[in-house]
Amino acid sequence: MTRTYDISEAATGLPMIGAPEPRYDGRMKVTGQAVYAADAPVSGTLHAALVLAPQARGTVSAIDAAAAEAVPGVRLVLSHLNYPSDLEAVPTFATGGTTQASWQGFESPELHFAQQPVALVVADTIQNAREGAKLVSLTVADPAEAPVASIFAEAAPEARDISDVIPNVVAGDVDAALSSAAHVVEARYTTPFQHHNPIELYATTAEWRDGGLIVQCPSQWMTGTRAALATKFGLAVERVRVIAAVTGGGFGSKATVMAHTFLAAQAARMVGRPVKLYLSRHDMWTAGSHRPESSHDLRVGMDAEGRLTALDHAQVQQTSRMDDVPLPGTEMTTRMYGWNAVRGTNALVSTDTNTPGFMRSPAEVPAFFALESAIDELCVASGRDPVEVRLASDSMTEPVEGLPWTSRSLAECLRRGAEVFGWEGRSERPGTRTRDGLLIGHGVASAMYPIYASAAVVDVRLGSDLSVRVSAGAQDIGGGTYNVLTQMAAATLGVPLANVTAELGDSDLAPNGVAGGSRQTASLTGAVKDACEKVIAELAQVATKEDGPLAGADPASATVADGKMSIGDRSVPLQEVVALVPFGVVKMRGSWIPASADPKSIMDLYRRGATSLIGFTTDTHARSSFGANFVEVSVDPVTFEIRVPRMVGAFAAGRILNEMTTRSQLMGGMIWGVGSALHEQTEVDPRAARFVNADLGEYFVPVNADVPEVAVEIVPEEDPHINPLGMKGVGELGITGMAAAIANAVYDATGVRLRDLPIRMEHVLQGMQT
Amino acid sequence: MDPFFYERPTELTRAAARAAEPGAMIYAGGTTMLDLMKHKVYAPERVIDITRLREPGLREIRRDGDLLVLGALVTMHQAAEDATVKAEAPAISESLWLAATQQLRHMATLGGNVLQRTRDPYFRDPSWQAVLTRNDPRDSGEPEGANRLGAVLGTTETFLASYPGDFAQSLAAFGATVEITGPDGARSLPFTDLHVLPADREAPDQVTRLAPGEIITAFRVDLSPATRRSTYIKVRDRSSYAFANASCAAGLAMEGETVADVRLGLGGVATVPWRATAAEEVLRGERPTDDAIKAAAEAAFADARTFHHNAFKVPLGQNTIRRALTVLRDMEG
Repeated sequence: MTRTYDISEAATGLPMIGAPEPRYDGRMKVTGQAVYAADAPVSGTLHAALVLAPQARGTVSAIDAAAAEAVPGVRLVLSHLNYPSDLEAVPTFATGGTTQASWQGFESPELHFAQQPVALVVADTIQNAREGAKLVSLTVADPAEAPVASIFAEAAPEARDISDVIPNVVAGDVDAALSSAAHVVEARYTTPFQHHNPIELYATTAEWRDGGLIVQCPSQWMTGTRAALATKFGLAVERVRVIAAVTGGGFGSKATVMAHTFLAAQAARMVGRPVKLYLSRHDMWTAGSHRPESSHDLRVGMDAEGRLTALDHAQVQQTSRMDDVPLPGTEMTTRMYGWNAVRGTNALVSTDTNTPGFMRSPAEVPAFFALESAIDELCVASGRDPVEVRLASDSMTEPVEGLPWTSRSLAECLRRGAEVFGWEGRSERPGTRTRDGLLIGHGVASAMYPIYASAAVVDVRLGSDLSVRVSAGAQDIGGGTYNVLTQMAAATLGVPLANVTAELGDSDLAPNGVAGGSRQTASLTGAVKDACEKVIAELAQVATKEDGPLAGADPASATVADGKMSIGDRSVPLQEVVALVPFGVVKMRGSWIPASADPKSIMDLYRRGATSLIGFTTDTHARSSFGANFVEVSVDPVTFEIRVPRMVGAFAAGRILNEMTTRSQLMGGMIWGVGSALHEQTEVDPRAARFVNADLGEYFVPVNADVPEVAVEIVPEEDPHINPLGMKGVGELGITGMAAAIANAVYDATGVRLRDLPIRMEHVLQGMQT
Repeated sequence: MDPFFYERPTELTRAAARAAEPGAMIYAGGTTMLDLMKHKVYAPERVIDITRLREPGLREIRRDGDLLVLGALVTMHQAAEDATVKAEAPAISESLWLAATQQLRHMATLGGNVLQRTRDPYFRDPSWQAVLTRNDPRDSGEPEGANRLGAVLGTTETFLASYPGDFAQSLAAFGATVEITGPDGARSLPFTDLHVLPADREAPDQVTRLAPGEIITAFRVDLSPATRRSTYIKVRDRSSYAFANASCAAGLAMEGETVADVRLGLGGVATVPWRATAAEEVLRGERPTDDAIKAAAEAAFADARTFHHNAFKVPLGQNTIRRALTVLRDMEG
């Protein structure tokens, strides 16, 4: 069923591109006033520290905790020896649940990955806990087999077909289409292990009170964390409360519930005191998830007119031995252009790591590095301009099921980006453009991120002074969720923005889905609109009663603006109407359920944290945001240092609620893309299957000096099909095209085609010398 | 971090006496030492803080004719900013500027800077001992492990961890002398003798030739035309806050068309602060043509030994020398 919404400014009260309001929580964060989960003081708290096993495989056959227990102030050494056996296993996110991995605590002495926590020491101070942790002595029975560190290792197991989990995407006869193509590129592209590293470290403070559990931990998903804890400890969800008023970055790392949260809660239960577990940066490398390694075999065809015709994309991706985490990159690449024929397949290779997870644009970053690099290679082979080829291959219908896109402004983004960047086309010969002794290269790539949606629930309270409070058990992970909620409520209720406050980050508030996958703003705003409209309807009822100021008028035609309620040509100050409401406040719960979702999804969300996800395609439409990345790189021909002096991104994502937070999100994604392409790699020791550079001193991300010039262009777009406000997500979009744009620019600068991330000086050096 | 005794003497002789006691370590800026204590690589029983020593020379930068003396407690920032250093030995100033961050440069002292340990990750996390069969010393790096940043000069078959500093390369290049005071009095040492080559170590943990209790008090640099016409080139993966993949402190003095004096110190590619004397020999008395510079750069790496992931450091190191010498050659002399 095709549904079209009236998304006009007149109908919604919102401009297509909203005012650039600074972050609601920005000042608080940069002045150190924000109280993060680990900062909140809890009276009588004990402190905990993890003991990690250095081995990747084997069984902990003995734990000597005597020295640790002798440290003054140590209260508990928790390990598999005294861990309860009756805790429930909570399904993982990849299987529709809420947890990061099926390893969820000290249920067994088996080791699944190097640096796996195997004991927790609880003491009166953090110093004593850490001293105790250092003194715990482990004996590990070695396994028969050596651990496998990487999907690229010789000893890596065969890739497993997972078409039963992610169906292969097949349309047309790809082999025939490739054999009749004028140009074909066939190549393998690879991406490394990477880690998210949000500034705020993982932490959990757990307190048992009145038979219930209160947990403070940074989380992108308050409702899901609550559900996970309730299941784990056999409690009703109402007995569990999860609090994190602000987060210091998530990027997917805090989307799911990690084992250390369960460990802290179990320890608190055993010692009868609140327990705080604060992980170190080093601990985070294995306590949570990572971006898995991946490999992409592509065959891409182009016809004689420079139109992309065929794609055969086989993706192989790392996962853990415990869990399969399939990231469906080929679902997106096969739909990106107007292909005549496609085949997309997915396979997994299990290695000895913790379970991988969702790192900003998890499926898209690796898959589009491969696709958009391969397209550049086709452009080189055919002598065509990469912008022109992408424009010629654009299609308003996705090629697999023939669904129309709800909106698609890829062409406008490519044109606008090219204009702002000053795109002159590729150099006639790569390696010939120079400036100040440096080789200069230009590269372009398309960006895309699918539009997901979750059921959302919001409470709105209007007070007698026209103050408004918007509340949701959702999270602001840095994208400006606080802002969009307050802006939306102010616009819908016709009150000044200064009147509106928002509260998030508490599972006692209205249940919501995960703040991840760029879905939250578009989902929550529908619920804010619904709640505000209910508030207006309630006020209209009161105002139009017999003795009311608008007596006799039709409440259904009431509107509010500038602090007044109007029906026809009569109007009354809103404050007078609120004063007539019993108790002097109006509080309404609003919800929004995506058009094709199950209406029961809110109940599932509340009880189980189920995500009620509406995906990339529905019965009627394909749904995605699009953009284009343009990058200039410089390569020093003597030292081979690669830098990115400037980059331009042009993006379209429907209605933009807040121009400033949107721009910042996209800019952050682009900057991260520089790191993803040039800097970030978690190295793994081939013998120990253990991460080596688990430290921000050695795991590089860009510094300010690496990103001198970043321009973000927001291309206007109207999408009447996607949701009632015509909004798409932007959180993950900015990074998706960056790695390929940089690789393509490196080629333009040097003539060296690099197909393995990260691209480093030694690769350029080797390429230029041979 | 383990508990330790902390003492803050005000007299150099007392500090030397206290630092000579078993389990003692000397603390100055602390920028590396505290990290390594938190990582449990260092576990001193006594920490002797020398930042309050009263001897004024420790905090002075002094020029006496053609002698430049840098006190050991001068911060990296002070030395980098010093007008005399900038004018008389710019490579020293540049090597300090390109190191670390603003915050660290204000804390770290020159004496401590040259003693910073390798950034090799296997050294910085003692728990590797449990999973790798490793010989002492623990600061060797791993020939079979992740070793992209490892050294190619001054290595052995099993020792490849690189010395990470920048300042030390300029001291090596300029033939500096290090002034030392210990429990038995003062002595001095050529700077390039301060660090012990892995092959020459008498004990696994003999990183330097400082005896227990010995404290670096100053560095002496003889100023010359080659220190005045000098530069420091640092090649790294990102634009700031990164150790060198390869670096070169270079000085050049010309006599007409030929090289009268040339000084080359290399970083990022060697196990210790490294003076490329063989390369200097190639150029001295020659015209500094591109070919001559290339020959010198190749001579610097004639004895290089490469490992799995760091073979690129040979051409990269050579090119870094070429860059540094080309810059100096083309300078107004």
